[in-house]
Amino acid sequence: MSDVQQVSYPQVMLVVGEIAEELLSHPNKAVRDQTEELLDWIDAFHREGLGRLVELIRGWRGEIFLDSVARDDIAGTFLATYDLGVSPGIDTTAEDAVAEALEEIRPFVESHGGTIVVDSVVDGVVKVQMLGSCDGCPSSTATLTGGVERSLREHWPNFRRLEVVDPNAEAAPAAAPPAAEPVQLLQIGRKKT
Amino acid sequence: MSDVEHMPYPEVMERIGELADALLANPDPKVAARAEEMLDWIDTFHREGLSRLVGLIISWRGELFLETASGDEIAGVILSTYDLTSDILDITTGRGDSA
Repeated sequence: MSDVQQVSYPQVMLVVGEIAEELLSHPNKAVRDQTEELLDWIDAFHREGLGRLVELIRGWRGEIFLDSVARDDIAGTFLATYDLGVSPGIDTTAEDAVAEALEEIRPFVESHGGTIVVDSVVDGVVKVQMLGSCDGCPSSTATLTGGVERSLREHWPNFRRLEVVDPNAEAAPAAAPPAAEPVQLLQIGRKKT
Repeated sequence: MSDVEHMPYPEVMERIGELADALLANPDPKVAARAEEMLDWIDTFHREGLSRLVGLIISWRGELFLETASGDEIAGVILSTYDLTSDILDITTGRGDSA
């Protein structure tokens, strides 16, 4: 059993990376392919699951909570590995990556008389407004968003989902969380194997 | 890039299991051993990180949030994978069925 006590938490993924590199450069192609696909699905599974969990936290007005999680040695490192839980505007890395990814598709969109405006980039979810001739046209929006989504998926590893925001729609009020229950501290131990 | 949108979320773990089994059954014992070690560290990283996160969540919102998240079709799956759903942790609020 790998013992996290002997390796600091942030170093665990470095160890994973070293072993993965070894298997990904194995002379046997089947080993390389299986390792690559395995790591890819492991990433997808955790990114989507944790992303959803963070979305739920935000839905419960958890912005300040997520800021405190980011400062926790373990939970902060954990979420940062998937670029999740970062407050909008604090770290522009995601916005920059999205802008770069969209550069490829922008000429195509503009050739159709449209314009893409990035509304927000939070937890791998990119919200955009499709303006110009594509505004209000379902078929052109579907074609263009398909291209935008492909470009983001190809160029930005942290991409999870694209949402097209209707520029004419009024923002829905945030759902209030249920009344807080009494706080209960719980020490969760590692699973025994 | 494996696209989780093209495979139902709960089935992703099945695919991960198939690929892990294939690597662990590799005739080269060195490959199998390294694959096992890698998977072990990956499990350690996620179990430790998610356990810590869930502990903080419970301190923040009590068990009510965890109950909601445990019932979510996506978040519930990842919590269940690491035995961190509200029913497994036995911290249900007692709402709903009392039988």
